[in-house]
Parts: sequence; C-alpha cells; structure tokens
Amino acid sequence: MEHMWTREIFWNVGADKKIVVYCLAVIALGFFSYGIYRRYFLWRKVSRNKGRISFDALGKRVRSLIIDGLFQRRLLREYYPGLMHAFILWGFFVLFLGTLTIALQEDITSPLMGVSFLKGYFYLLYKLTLNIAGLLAMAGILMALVRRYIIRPDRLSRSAEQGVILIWILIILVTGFMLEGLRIYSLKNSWEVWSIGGWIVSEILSRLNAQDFSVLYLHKVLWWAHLIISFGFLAYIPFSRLIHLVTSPANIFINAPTSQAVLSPIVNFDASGSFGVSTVKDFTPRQIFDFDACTQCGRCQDNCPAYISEKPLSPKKVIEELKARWLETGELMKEGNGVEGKRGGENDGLLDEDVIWSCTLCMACAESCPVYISSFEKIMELRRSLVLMKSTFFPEIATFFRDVETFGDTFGRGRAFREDWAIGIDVKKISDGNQADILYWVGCQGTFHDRNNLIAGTLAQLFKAAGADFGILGKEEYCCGDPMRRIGNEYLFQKTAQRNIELLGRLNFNKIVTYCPHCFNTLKNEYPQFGAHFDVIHYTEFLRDLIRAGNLKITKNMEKRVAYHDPCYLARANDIYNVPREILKSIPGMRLVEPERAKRKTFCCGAGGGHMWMREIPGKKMNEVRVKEIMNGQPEIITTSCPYCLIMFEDGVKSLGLEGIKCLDVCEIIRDAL
Amino acid sequence: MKVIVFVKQIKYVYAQTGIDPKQNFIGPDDIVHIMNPLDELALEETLRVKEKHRDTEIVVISLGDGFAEDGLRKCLSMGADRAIHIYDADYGKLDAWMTAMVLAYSIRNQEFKLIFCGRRAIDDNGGLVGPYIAEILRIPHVSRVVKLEIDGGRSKVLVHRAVERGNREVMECTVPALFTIEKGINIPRYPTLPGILRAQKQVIQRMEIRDLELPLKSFGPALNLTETISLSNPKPKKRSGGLADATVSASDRLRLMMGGGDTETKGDSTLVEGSTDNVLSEIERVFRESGILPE
Amino acid sequence: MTMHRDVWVLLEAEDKKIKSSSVALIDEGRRLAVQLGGGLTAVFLGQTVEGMDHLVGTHGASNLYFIHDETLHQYAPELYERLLTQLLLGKKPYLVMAAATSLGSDLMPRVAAKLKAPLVSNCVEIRVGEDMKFIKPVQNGRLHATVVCKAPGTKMATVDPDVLTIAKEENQPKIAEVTEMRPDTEGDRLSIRVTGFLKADHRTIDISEAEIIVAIGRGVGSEENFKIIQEFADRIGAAIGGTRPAVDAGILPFERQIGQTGKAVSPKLIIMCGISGAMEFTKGIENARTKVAINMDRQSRVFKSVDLGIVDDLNRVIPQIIEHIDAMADEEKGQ
Repeated sequence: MEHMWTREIFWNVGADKKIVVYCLAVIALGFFSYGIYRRYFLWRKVSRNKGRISFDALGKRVRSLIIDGLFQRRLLREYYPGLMHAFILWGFFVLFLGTLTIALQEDITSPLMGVSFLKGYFYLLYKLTLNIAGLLAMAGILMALVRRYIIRPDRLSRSAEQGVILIWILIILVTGFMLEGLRIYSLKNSWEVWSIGGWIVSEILSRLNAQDFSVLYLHKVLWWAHLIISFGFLAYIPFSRLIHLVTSPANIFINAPTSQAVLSPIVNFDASGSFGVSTVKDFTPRQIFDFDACTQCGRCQDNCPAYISEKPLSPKKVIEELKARWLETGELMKEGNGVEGKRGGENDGLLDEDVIWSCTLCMACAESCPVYISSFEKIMELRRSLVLMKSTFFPEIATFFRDVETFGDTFGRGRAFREDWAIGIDVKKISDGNQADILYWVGCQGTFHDRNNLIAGTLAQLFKAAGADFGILGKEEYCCGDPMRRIGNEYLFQKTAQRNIELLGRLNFNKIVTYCPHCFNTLKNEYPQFGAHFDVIHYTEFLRDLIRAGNLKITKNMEKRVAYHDPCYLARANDIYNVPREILKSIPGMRLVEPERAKRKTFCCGAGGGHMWMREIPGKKMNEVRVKEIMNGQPEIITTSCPYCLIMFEDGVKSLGLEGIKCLDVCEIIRDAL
Repeated sequence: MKVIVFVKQIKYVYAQTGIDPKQNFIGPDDIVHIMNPLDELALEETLRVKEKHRDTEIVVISLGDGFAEDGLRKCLSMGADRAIHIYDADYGKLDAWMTAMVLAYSIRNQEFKLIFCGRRAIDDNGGLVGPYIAEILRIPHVSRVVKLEIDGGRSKVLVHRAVERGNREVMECTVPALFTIEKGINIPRYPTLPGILRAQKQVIQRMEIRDLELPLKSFGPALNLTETISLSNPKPKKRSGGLADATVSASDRLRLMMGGGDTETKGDSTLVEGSTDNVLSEIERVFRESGILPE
Repeated sequence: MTMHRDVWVLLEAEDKKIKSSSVALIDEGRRLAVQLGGGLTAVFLGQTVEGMDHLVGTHGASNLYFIHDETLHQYAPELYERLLTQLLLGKKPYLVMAAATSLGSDLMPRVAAKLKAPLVSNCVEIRVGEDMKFIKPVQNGRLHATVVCKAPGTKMATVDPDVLTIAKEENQPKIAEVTEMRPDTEGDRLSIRVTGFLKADHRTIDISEAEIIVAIGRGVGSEENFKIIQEFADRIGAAIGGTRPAVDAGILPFERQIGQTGKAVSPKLIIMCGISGAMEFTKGIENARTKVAINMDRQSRVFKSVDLGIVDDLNRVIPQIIEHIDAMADEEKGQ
C-alpha cells in the first residue's frame, strides 16, 4: 500500500483552478515587487551620498548570514525571545520550502517528466516535517503574543500593526491545519496520523461527528481563504514591519565585514564640505538601510548602559526616530516637494543633544543587534556634525580640545611632565638612534593621572623584571586621538594620528605594547586607515606571554574573590577576554567571580566616548550601576585592565560607600603575586 | 562698522622642568605658544557684536614674530574677517609703551568704532598696552569689561566693569572707544571645521614696523620706557606637592627627581590636628591674610 | 638730576574708610622714602574720611593731598585721570605708587600715558639701589621679572595688594598736613559716564570670580552637614563650590563644579571640606592663592598641596571656627 501514501494536490478544489491560483500568485508578487521597488527608491535616493553594495569578504558575509540569519545565533542569546523568533522563522522557512516542493512537483517534474515524488515514505516524512514546522511556528506566535501583550517587557512597543501581523500569521497557520484536518477527516486514511496537526483537527471533527457535506464545503471555502490570506501576507510584506524578512538578512550580508571597533574616517577635508550628519540626507544608503532592517526588538536598549542608567538615550529610539525622519523626507521627495519640508528637511535636531551626548561609544548596541545595526554609528555621525559644523558642545569639551591642541595630552599638562611617572624606574627611551624590541605606549592616563601613573610604573617594573627589551617615547609620546575621535572631532583626531604615525614610522621597534585599551584599539585598528600597520598588543597579552615563557614567575597564593571587569575596547572591540582571565587564574587560590555582563557583553564603566571629560548627564551614574552589578558576586577585589574603568570604579566604590573593596589593575595583582 | 581686535601670541612658560638654574629651570619643553586667553575672549566678544550687527567687519591685528601668524590664523578660523600681522623679528624687546605706539599707529588712519583687547597678557602680566593705545589714539577706554552692549544708535556702549569681590561698575562710554576684556565675559567658541579649513587659505596681511610712520626719528627698544633686565625664580611658597603637580617649584622638583621620586614627601605645609587652639590660631592667621578678619 | 626723591602713594577708600591695602601702601611708601631720602606724600580723591589726616600721618606720610568733589565719590576714570595728572605734573615726585586694585590698575596707566612716565604694574617688591628695581610676577607667577625704568622723570608702579601688609611696629601718632583741593569739574566733557554699581552676593556669585570659596566633596555627605557648610560660607562671605562627586550626588548644581570638567577658580582663599584631592579636582584650583583643607583622613592626598591642613571632623571643627571668628568680631567691636 506504500504507493498510496500521497495526496491529491488540488483535492476537493479541482486541478482546473490552478490557473486562478497562479493569477493570484502573480498579483501578490506584483504587490510585493511594487512595494520593494518603492522602498528601493527610499533606500537609494534619500541619501545625497552614493552607495554601492560591496561584495568583498564574501565568505564572511555568507557565514554571518548563515550563523546569525539562518541559525539565529545572536537572537538565541536570549532564550525566550530567541526561541520564539527562531520557531517562527524556522517554521515558516520549512513551510515555504514545502510549498516550493509542491510547486516543483506540480509544475516541473510531474508535467515535464511525469515524476511525482511526494509519495511513499518521503511523503510521510515530508508531512511530519511540515506539521512540526507549522506547530513550532504556531508555538512561536503564541509565545510572541503572550510576550508582547501579557508579559510586556519594557523594550517592546505595541502598535496595531504588530498585532495584525501576529494574528495574520496565526490565521494562516490555523487555516492550514484546519484544511488538512478536514481533508483527513473525509478521506479517513489512518496513515495520515503522521500529519500530526491535521490529524488532531480531524480527531476533533470526528468527536463533533461532522457531516460529510458540510466538511467538503467548509474545506473548499477555507482552501480559498487560506490561499488569499497567504498571498495577501506576501503582498503585505514590503508595506509593513514584515519587510525585515528582506531587509534584516540583507543587512547582515551588507554589514558583516564592518568592524564596530573602527569608526569610518572622513576622507576629504574641504572647506566647502559638510561633515557628519545634520539631516537624514547626509546618511549613506548603507546607514539608511539599517533603519529599515530594524525590527524594534529592543535588544540594543536592553544592553545599553546609558539606557540602563536612566540617561535620555535609547539606541532603539534613536533608530526609530531617524527612520521616521528618513521616511518623511523620502515621502516629501517623492511628492516632488523638494526636501525643505517642515520636519524632514534641512533642520537641526534630528535627535536631542542630550541623547547624542549620552552615548559612551561602548558598542553594546551594535554587539547585541541580531541584524548588525549600529546605533552608536548614527550617534557618532550626529556628534561629528555638532562638533565639526556647529561647534555645539559642552564648554568643558572645548577646554579639552584646547588642552590636547596646546599640550598634546588629554590632561593639558604638557610634554614637560611626560616622563615624570618613570622617575626612579630608569626606563630606556626609544628615539631616532635608540631602538628596542618593545615600544611601551603608556598613554595619557598612565602618564598623568595620579592613580594610573602608578600602574604605568608597575607595568614598567614588571617588564623589567621579566627582562624584556622595551623603551618608551618619553616626551615624544602624544595623545593617541581616541577621545577626540569619539567625541566627534575627526579633524583633530586625524591630525594627531598623522603626527604619531610619522613619528612611529621613523623609529625602530618590533612591537607596541599599550597600557590603555583605548590606545590599543586606536593604534591597532584605526591607524591602519591611514596606512600605518603596527604590530600592537595589549599589556595583558604581553604579560600572559611573559608568564607562559616563565619570565615572570607567580609564587604567591592569593586567597581572594576577584571580579574581573572587561573593558569595552578590549573585550567587545578586540575579543580579548580570556587572556586576563588566564593570567588571573594562574595565581593559586584566586577565585574569579564573573559579573552578570561579561566578556563581549560587558557593561561600560561610564567614561568612554569622551565622558571622562564631560559633565554627568542626568540619570544614574553608570559607574555606580556597574559597581553594584559587579558586587553581586561579592568580590573582595574589583580588577580590570583599563585606566578609565579603574578610575570610574574607584569613584563608584567610594560613592556607594563600599568599605574594604579594592580596585586594582590586573598588573598590580600580578605584581603582588610574584 | 569696523571693529579692531588686538591679539597677542604668547610664549607661555607652563612648567620648569629644566635643570639649569641660569635658565631659571626653564627647559626647552616648558614653553608653549598660545594665543593670550583674554585676547581670545576679546575676539569672541567682537564675534558676538557681529552676530547682532551684521555689517561689522572684524580686523585682528597682532605684533610679533612668525608665531603671531598662528594666533591670527586661529582668529580667522573663529570668524574674524581680516588679519594683519605687524612683523617684528625681534619680538619681545619692546615695552608696553612702544608696543602700544606700534599698534596705535597701525590703525591711526582707519575708521573704526570699537577696539577690543584682553585686559592683560598672562606672560608679562602687564595690563598696560590696551590703555596706552587708547591714550595714544585719544579715545576713551574702559578696562576689565565683563559685559558689553552697544546701544541702538551705535553712539555709545554700555559696559559692566569687574571690580573687587565680584562687584560691577556700570558705565556708558561714547564711541569710538577701546575696551579691555576680563575673564567671565564669555566662553570663546571652538572654531568649526569649515572655519579652520577656510582660515588656512586666507591671506594674512603683513606689515613692517617701518611702514607705520611713527612720530619718532628712530625706533627700537632704545626708546622703551621700562626694561626687564632679568628673570628669576620666586622664593618657593610654603607648599608641597606630588610630582605631576604643575605647582611644584623648580627646586622642589629637582630635589624630588634626585631623590628618585619620593612622592611621599610631606613638604612644608602645616598640618594641624588634635589641639583645638592650634587649629583656631592657624585658621585665624589664614583669615587675617585673606582679609576675612581685619589685619 | 632730580634732587627731591619724594614718594607718593595713591589712597583708596571703601565704606568711608581708607582701605587696608592703602594703609599698607603708605607703610611701603615710608620704607622706600626713607631709603630714597625723600618725603612721603599721600593723595586721595573722594569724599571725606574721618580721621584721615591722623591715619595717614601716623603711618608716615607728611602730606596729604585731598581732592574732593561730589563727582568723585565713585571712581570716574577721566576725572581722576585729569586731576591726578595735573597734580603730578606740578609736583614731579620721584615715585608714585598705587595698589594694583581695579581702581589703581585702571588709573595709573592713564596717568602714565599722559606723563609719558614709565610704569611697572603688579609689583611684589620694589628695591632701592643705584637703579630702582621693580620686581613683578610674570608667566602666571611662575617667574619674577626685574624691571627698571629707562625714561627719566617720575617713576610709577602699581603694587599687588596681596603682598601689601600693614607694618607691625607701633607708630608715633602724627597728623599729616592736608592740602584740600576742590577742582572745578563742571566744564569737563566726559566720554565715560558712571551710571551704577552692582553689588555681588557671595551666594550667587560665579565661583570663578569668587575671592573666597568653601569647596565641598563627597566627604560632606549628609544634608545636615551641608547646612553647617552653608552657615560657615555665609559667615565668611564665601561662595560654595564642589567636586564632581558632590555635584553628581546632587548637593550642588553643575555651575558650582570645580575641576577638570567644571570651572577653574582663582580665589584668594579656598577651604576644602571633605575633599580627597583627586587630580580631576585639583586641576581647577591651581591658581588659588591660599589652600586650606579639612579632612578626617590624615593620609588624604589633599594634604599634599595645601598651605594649611586640618585633620579633623568638619562637623566638629567648623562650628568651632564659626564661634571663634564671632568672638574675634565681638572683640574688635569692643575695642
């Protein structure tokens, strides 16, 4: 009886209706194409910049598409919403493949080759798979409804459209199962138990003792309803949030090779030019496409330290608001109104300045976005416009810029004091005639801050103890440029970078070791934008190597609970989080406690993005929020490997009145353990 | 309406990390070239005048060597319309009076409404050039201006003059007039990038002192009224400090460096504890020195 | 060339009393006059001050030129300039000194320009020798410049009032010979008209302008403590500023933040209460003249760069200080 395990595709409807179905399909596809075409105009034409989709690093793009698109890696970092979405996606993906399979048989293999493969064991497997997929999708939808309307997490908004979409999908699924159930009920084939969903419906029908005639009639009606609703769904995609079915995977493909740790350079400084973004038209098409890829899932908001600290910034709202401006501008342009319309045109205040300055450039939003949107990148563009075009920023920032311009460091102390931290340590200086294996880049914090300069000294002493051949630039060292760039002064950053690149290019050394993760990221990842490729490592990597090689021998026991905080620019930007842990674990007796947000998911200390030199923006203090979170693990010592984080935590520990909690740099712990 | 701003590019000694006592411990790294901060405020004030009176032309003038151009370039980037550099290869030799003569004669034949400059330069701490220019030009001047408003008819200017303890004298002054600007009047703008880029291409007019037709037979430092004959280190104040503290005197610094960076030095500051009488008598001394209690 | 090497000092009054900086200037003038072998003359423009002849005479000036007129009760730059210039033109003293106050620093350059006389401003020391040597701080006080006058004739100087102190020794009571002058100011056509005077309030003054500041840190803690601070500040006429933590904690508004992200201040006296002395703060007080710190922690960094450090609980010590200065004030009144 094996050959009987199949079904008639147009059962009860009649194969002659095929033409009608295909007409409807063509109409739906027409709507779909028209919608995408309209959208395409908005994607490409609103921007005054030319955008070209690049296909370099194709492997990375495809890999990202598979991992984060198909397998939903980033989404599944959160179980409930992750599984919820994955169920719907995978369910529909399989159902879609199933429908394609039918089309393949009915329109290609069967009429052309006389081959029907949807039968026998394959058919049973096919039905089982599709039924499971349908049930998963239904479970996903129900989870989504419960989450959005009953659990109501803060990050989700509730609009009519979202409800419509969920119910629509649910109706498609339910009508699908009902159709199958009605068919099974009237054909009464026991092997159709493999179609779990349909079988359940047919069981219900038999309990109800349904009449054959009404069953057939209902089937016919539902069949057409299901068809129309499904095609309608297809047509609706480009006109709703469902467009993310197209834009989100496309965005993953487009943005996959973009490193969040590197800001895009302004390439042409021309007096008549415009820098940064002051209207949506200044965004590139790629950036605009981000707006349309956003599904408002709110993961960025949930991970944003500014939002969590009750600052006036939500990375999700940033994208939403910019998207609204973009659509307004686009509609006005379509109507031929030019762009000088009331809101969408050339105006100030795409976002409130408080929002723009709340960002610490910690990159958590981009890291958490399932579809590779970077909210901070947009904020950065707006900052550039404020700084470079309007010169609108807090006066303390102007003081900061002047300090760097005049004195070459972020503290405004001057090169005369650059070597003071090393007094009594006897460190070699690398100069035109004097080389060393390692160039120790101390950074302004290590050089001038009265707590961090002790750490800079400790590092130098550890390097000496390990017998490393290293030297410093001494008075020739200069700010690396990171804070200026992340405040938005790209011009000052590039001038600074060029000065440093010229100097470093002249000197003889093999590797640069930095104390500060910000210098590290800038020298390693951003200087290459200007043609300078140095071998840069962070001191934690260097110490790890020295310990591994036995040049530094850990001898002491330390019975302590220690929490390690990952600096954003080490962990998130450069994937260095195992190295410091490895160092700390090499100390006998040490108990490492992990903060809730750790490694790539770490939480900003509050000093990034220029906030070290900026007033506190209303809200909670970010460093206190983080210290509290770290303290949940009840550590005795909070350790980190970034001068900014350390100052912020020392301050947080003080202001929270935590007695006896020490804040130490990783290298200080190593020193104590030698 | 033409407004003149006189600016000075100064060689500011911000540290004394040198080791040669003959050079007063001023090493090669201890000097930065900056625009005199109060002159920057003076320029900012003219820019604000221009924001209200659109027909204003702002001319900045600086006497100095090659570095003066940097200051003028900065003024242009902030929004000045024209810049004039009166070149003096031997800059620093002229006293306040001669400097004022040069600057005054550089604009003697020009139609200007207002002149602005900083109340004093932080390098020589003089505060004389501005008043002298006004006297040479025979126009009124008001010093230490912290608020300024031009009245509607542009016939007079309303100013607040900062006097002791934050008090203000309110004055009216006819134009043309000169005003020396005191800190607190404004916060100078940071130039926009288009401003910086535009200023790089702008032409700075260069003048020589000999072209100015000074009413003097000869010209040069020989005609100075006063002359600085030497620089020295003030006696160190009773104060100690950590190493990276710019307030550490040169001699303290040398001692610290020789001692291998003893940051624990307690220094000479008075630390009192325990005895209440001791605390009160010390506080009383400080209060008398500061004028809280009569001397 | 000139035989009489007389020294003249310009006096100022405030609240109908000769300013203490002016009294100290007479003392300084007397010291110089003795060394120069000349007489000491004081000149004062303004309204009558009771006992002026006695005060001036006792401190060592034999003559007092008293120019008074209705119009002179408030500083009128052009009138003062004309009257003083006329007087000096006639008398040709060897040296004229004024305190480098807002009045002295404004008036002296005007007169110097009229006389084409050499003027050295903001002196901290004047030495008599073969040449008169004028010592003044330059480069933000980092260096001292020694200046000489090259032009012949009257030398002029303004002296930093902060270095002027009234001589300790007892003086013989004397009465100065007063020459009263009533100038005719009717015909003067003035370009500058003085229209008012705004008195600052220490509570509302911008901290960057305040001469006395009480700065608070996180260590102040509670609102209760802040009340004590406020009372203290009111008592000594100080403006209240604070560290970033104090501002972040909401104790003070941002405009009162001192330091790297706040304002740089340059008061004559700053009293730091419960401040640990982190460099983010100390960067803002580099130009403060006298620094006092009150902190419970003896090891606190703040004590490293202060003139007076008090290791004590501010809750205990501040009420004592208030009580003490109240007692002092009563004593002064009693005298």
